[in-house]
Amino acid sequence: MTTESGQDEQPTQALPARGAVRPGEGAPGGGAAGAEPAAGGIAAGAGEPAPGIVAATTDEPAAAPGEPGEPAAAPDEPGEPGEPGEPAASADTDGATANVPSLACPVCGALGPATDSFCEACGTPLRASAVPPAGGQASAAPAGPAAPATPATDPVGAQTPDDPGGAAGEAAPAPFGTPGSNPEGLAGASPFGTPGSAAGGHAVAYPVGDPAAAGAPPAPGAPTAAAAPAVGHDPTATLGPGVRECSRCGGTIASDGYCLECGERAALPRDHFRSAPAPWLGGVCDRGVVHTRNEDAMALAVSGGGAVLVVCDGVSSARDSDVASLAACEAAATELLAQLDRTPGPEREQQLLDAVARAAVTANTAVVATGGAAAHGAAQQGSAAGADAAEGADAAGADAALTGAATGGEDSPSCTYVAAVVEGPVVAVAWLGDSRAYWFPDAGTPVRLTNDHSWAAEMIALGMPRAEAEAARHAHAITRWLGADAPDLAAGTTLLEVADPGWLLLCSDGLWNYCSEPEPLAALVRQSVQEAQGDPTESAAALVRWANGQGGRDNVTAALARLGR
Amino acid sequence: MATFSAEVFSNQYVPEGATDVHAIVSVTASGSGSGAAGDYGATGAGAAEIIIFDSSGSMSGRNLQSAKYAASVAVDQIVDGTWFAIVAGSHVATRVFPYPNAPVQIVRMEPAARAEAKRAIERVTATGGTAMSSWLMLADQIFATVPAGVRKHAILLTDGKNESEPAGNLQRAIAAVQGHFQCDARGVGDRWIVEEVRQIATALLGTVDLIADPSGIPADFERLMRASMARTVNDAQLRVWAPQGAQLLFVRQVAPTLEDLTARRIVVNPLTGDYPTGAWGDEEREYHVAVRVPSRPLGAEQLVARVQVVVGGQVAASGLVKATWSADPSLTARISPEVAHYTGQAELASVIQEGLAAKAAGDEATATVKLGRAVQLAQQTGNDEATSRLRRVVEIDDPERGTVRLRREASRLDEMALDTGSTKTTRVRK
Ligand SMILES: [Zn+2]
Ligand SMILES: [Zn+2]
Repeated sequence: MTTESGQDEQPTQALPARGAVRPGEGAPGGGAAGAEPAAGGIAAGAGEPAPGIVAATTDEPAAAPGEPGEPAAAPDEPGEPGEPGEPAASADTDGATANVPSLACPVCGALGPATDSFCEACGTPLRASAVPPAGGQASAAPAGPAAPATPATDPVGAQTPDDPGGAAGEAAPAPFGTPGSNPEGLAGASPFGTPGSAAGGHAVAYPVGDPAAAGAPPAPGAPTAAAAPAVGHDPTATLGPGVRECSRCGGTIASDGYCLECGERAALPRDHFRSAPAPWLGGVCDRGVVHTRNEDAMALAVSGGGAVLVVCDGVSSARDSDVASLAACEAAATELLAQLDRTPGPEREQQLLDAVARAAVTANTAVVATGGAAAHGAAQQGSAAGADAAEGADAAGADAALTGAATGGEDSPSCTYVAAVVEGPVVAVAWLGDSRAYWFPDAGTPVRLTNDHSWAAEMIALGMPRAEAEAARHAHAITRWLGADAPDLAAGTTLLEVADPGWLLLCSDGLWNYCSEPEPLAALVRQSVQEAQGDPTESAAALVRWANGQGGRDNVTAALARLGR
Repeated sequence: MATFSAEVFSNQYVPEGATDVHAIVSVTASGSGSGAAGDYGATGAGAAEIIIFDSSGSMSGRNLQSAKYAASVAVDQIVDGTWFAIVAGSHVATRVFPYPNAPVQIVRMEPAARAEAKRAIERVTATGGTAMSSWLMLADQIFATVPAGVRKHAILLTDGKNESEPAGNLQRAIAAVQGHFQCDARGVGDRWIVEEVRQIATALLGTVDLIADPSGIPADFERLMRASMARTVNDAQLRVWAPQGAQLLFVRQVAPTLEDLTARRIVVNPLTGDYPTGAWGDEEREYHVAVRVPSRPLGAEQLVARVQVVVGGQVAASGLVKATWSADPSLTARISPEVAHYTGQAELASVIQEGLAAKAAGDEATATVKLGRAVQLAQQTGNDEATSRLRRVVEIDDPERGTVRLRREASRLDEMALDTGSTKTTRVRK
């Protein structure tokens, strides 16, 4: 049940109209985006700890036992070098998780300790399983093709003592073999092995059809050992603290500032912010898709059992409207919060209505002040004058407001206004422009609590047929706003008495342009609330995502309060 | 300690409705040989080298003499401590050093080993046929005995066709050893098949080249071995992420040589793939990444690709490819000069290869058109080396328009030089 007031003033044909046609207002983003830094690479370490190249220590084969290059180690135990690849397999199989990094099997993907030689799951030899350099194997066999049938990966086979090659190695325990028939007289004394009498005799031909027999470790066609990425599987591993959520898809924003799922750029703080002052009150203010700045603003606060909600939508054609809208929200919210803390008078409902309407005037002063500061700042740059310039900014703004001399004409910052004060069952709403409030009772008819100050709305109120009014070129142009050139600061007001539980929604046209009628909007809110499991901030985020999914042609703000609970 | 950096060249602004975004990502590695910890080159402990040279009957004479000398020169370049072995290849593969009866298949370089290896090389005589699969498989078997984490590289030299084994053996061998080691492949003279040798080098992340005269082998081997010794960063991956709903059209290395990496994708997660790039020294390589994304409203900006270098599981450098849909034609009409250049270079390589294939098949009309287009592209992209190689195969009437006539007297060697050189690209003139 609602009552309306504040609509007593009749609009005239000579309505002041602010802002161009209002969806699709402002220039397309491309031009402004050009000012942003162009695409460019970022060098390693820009923004994250510079990952250098892994130090040699882990790869240093000198640590491997039984390395074959050391003649000193070999002479008496040609069989010993066969062991090096193995220790991990026996010792660390269970406790691997403690210190040993894990390695994904390139074939089946199962994780195992990096020190494992074979995948526990499928048996594929792993990269870590360097085949032990073993004495006297394979190619030393006079039998030629037969010898390499011993898989090189089989350390037992490689060590077979009766292997003829092994015998040769034993006879001449030298790392290079012995040039037994060396014509240059190195004879058996040389540690380099024998060149062999016939090339054919020592040659090894490998039947390619059976690579396993030839000792090729992994199966052909299998992802190679080199390919097995040991770590870095988890893309979020690169994320620093303060993980943020993507405003478009809800994915995670990486440390490079873009979504890990959809590639959306992380919103700047001003471009996307949330407020969740109570479990039953929350909102999201977002840049949308097309605009390059977020000129919407929002301020939510609670005190005692009461709450304050303010949403302002900056006018794109005006300079610094993003600053203006935020200043308006904060000024209005501060004043309304103070009102909540005041002892209720006898006519409390009227008191709240007056307060929420009066807060628009306070907000207007704040908006004008931002324009004054901006104008003054520009003047200061021009004249390179006064050190007291900053202090004078407020005074200049106030002057401008008093004299009505708009600091920059069309350029002066301006914004819409919609605010609600909630105290007990009473909700007092005031507005200027086309930002809206809706009431969606769980049971009962959803209602719009506000009437836009737009050209179309005012023409309809004057008797123009709705279709004609809404088809007009300036249908969406707003007729009241906050700013130095504000034509009228008399806000529309509404009082709502909450009898049953429901949701109060305040939003900018960035949302309602895609869903204006109370019924479908109520359904949308219900769906969002369901998705968000009743959390008002998450529900608002879902509404914003939905609007962005519809094209996000404007900034989007949605603030929700659960009332009558 | 090596560091990587990545720089992205693309036009971020795309017109309304656009879906395809192209970018050149230039990756630079530096400091790979300077740090104590990262400097494998100083000790050689992190590297393994195998020199494989053709010892088939056809090599007898100057070719084998030069190959043996070249192998010795390469041995001189191998730093002490590096694991190494020498393989001679014919219809079978023979381990020349360590000697076949040695207790190990690969040893670490030290002065005595170097001297003995050279003696072993000297003993090799030319005999038999050519079955390159056996060469690769023996090298793979030897490399498999090296400790984990060691960077593995081979040089393969041949002078002939792979004629002593069934077709298909070589491809299977390549597939079996791929990812185990890198291999630079060289052909000497004019009797080898460019495509055969190129597939070895391409799959094994190496280079392919023609050495016209055997006297050029030693210098080439020296250069290859020195370059390999300088590549102290093992096993770097190019990691490419594209957003949900996007299609990665291709990933290509475009400099210093052209390699299509698209099919080498190793899935990291549904949005991310790794492309092996092998070992790195201090060098710059460039990649062309093309992504198709659903079009967004005017003004929308998004990331269309993350292109990263990953070493040892760590992201060492990252480049961001972005797109902004804009209505401003002065922004969207610009084509990135880097993208244009490498698109031209890629087409140049393919028209050269197609032109030569047409010529070999006797289709002179097609050959003339393709090689004419090649002349035009080489001119446009400032690839003077390609132009001079083309000039030996075609008579150029008008380089601007690509009007050419096939040279009757073009030698097989000239055509092979044009073919092997087709994937070498020039950098963008800055
Ligand atoms: Zn996202
Ligand atoms: Zn708006």
